[in-house]
Amino acid sequence: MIAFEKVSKKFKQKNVEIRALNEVTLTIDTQEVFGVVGESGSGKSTFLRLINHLESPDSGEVFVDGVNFSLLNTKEQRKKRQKMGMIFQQFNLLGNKTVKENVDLPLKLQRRNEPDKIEQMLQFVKMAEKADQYPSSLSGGEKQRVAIARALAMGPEILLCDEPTSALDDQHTYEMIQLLAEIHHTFAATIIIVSHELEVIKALCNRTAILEKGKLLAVTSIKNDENFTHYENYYERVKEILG
Amino acid sequence: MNTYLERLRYYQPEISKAFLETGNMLFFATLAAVVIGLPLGTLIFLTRKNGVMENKFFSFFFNGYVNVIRSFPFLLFVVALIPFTRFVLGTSFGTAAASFPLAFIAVAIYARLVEQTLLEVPDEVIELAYSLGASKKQLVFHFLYGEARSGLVLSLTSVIISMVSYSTIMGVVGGGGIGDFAIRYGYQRYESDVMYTMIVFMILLVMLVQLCGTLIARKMDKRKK
Ligand SMILES: Nc1ncnc2c1ncn2[C@@H]1O[C@H](COP(=O)(O)OP(=O)(O)OP(=O)(O)O)[C@@H](O)[C@H]1O
Ligand SMILES: [Mg+2]
Repeated sequence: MIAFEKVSKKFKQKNVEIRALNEVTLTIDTQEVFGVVGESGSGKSTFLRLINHLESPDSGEVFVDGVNFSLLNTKEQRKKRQKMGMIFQQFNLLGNKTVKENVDLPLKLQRRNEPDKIEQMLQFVKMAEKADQYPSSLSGGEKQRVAIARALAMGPEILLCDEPTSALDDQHTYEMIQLLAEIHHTFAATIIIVSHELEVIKALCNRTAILEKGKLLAVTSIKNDENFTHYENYYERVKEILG
Repeated sequence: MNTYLERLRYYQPEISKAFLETGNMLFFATLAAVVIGLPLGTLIFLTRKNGVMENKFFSFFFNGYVNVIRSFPFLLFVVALIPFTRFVLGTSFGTAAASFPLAFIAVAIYARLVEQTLLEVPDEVIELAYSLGASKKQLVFHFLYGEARSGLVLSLTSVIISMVSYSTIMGVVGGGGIGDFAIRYGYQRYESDVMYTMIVFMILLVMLVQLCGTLIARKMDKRKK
């Protein structure tokens, strides 16, 4: 379980103080798929980065499974962070590493050598055939799938997604939604999705937080699943939607 | 024409020696650039304002070294360093003694270029390193150097080429080398054909270094199509 208790975060930009997050209190259950929506600059990314402590709160506390990150030393923080996968809007793949090497990266940082695991993750995201290619030769959707394989390689208990579909076209967004749903089924991870695309949140999340200028307006439940139709392939989907 | 070739043949042992001396100086300067300049440039990058290891004192200190060395007129620097050179190496004359000031310059230039190269690594790379729980050391070796490697090679190429030029005046401390040879025969003995030949050799040397650097860097860079 993840708990925010009166969490505030300020940033200074040229002597102007910005309240990126303002006394936010909420909880996210284990294995929940939780959405975060809000306008640009409302503090969504800051919220997410507080969970794996890429940012530390100015006041208030963040607990992950009862543990307060702020009380851990740097090494313990890194250990804990390694148990959380993160995926980004811009994919953040290393351009000088092959697909396989990118997925291997988190394992390598922990001096683990598990080629089977890498293979398995690449199979899962359907990128095994391109294991030896470099990211520059991949499409946006393929890049994000590699980034997901990388995030999954350590078997994360929590998956943090910051605008995972915003740089993708319609069809790749659709595939990404399917993949995230599949991850939830297969790995039973807690998934937190930040997005300004409401369809993505609606298709995947049980509940969503709504942020405005750093304030939590509400946490609402979402009726989902039934709304999300599975299509066999791109052609089927186009036929259905346009036909 | 005949006499030109004959003279070249006559000077051939000295020319070979000059090449060897230049090679020596370049080697030690380049070695210093890699072994000291690379970590120094990395530290300048890390300790800068808003950097990964922001530290005003170290940042000031490292930048100070680079700025002072780089703004020193080179010839004066060589002369000013003589007592120190003698203290460290036991002599202030000869090829080894000439490599010493060159090494300082190479370290300073490369450190600055390394910093600039690392500044061009996208923030996303550092963001990723953090999110994967990488240590500072891992950040540098697995992320920064990996993504910046072609730029680091190109910068080193520039440093080596600058050193070819700097090394030409090392005759003042008995460093020898191609440049010194050219000056002695061309300027002091009016054998300008020998001088121009040596200049052509130097140009060829620089072109060769640049060609190798460019090829290696291109081979290493997988980021673009
Ligand atoms: N490192 C930082 N330094 C200074 N200001 C920051 C920093 N990070 C975020 N901010 C500011 O805090 C506010 C909230 O930023 P945040 O990135 O959380 O918003 P967001 O909801 O993710 O926006 P977007 O949809 O554009 O990604 C913004 O005004 C932003 O400019
Ligand atoms: Mg954001």
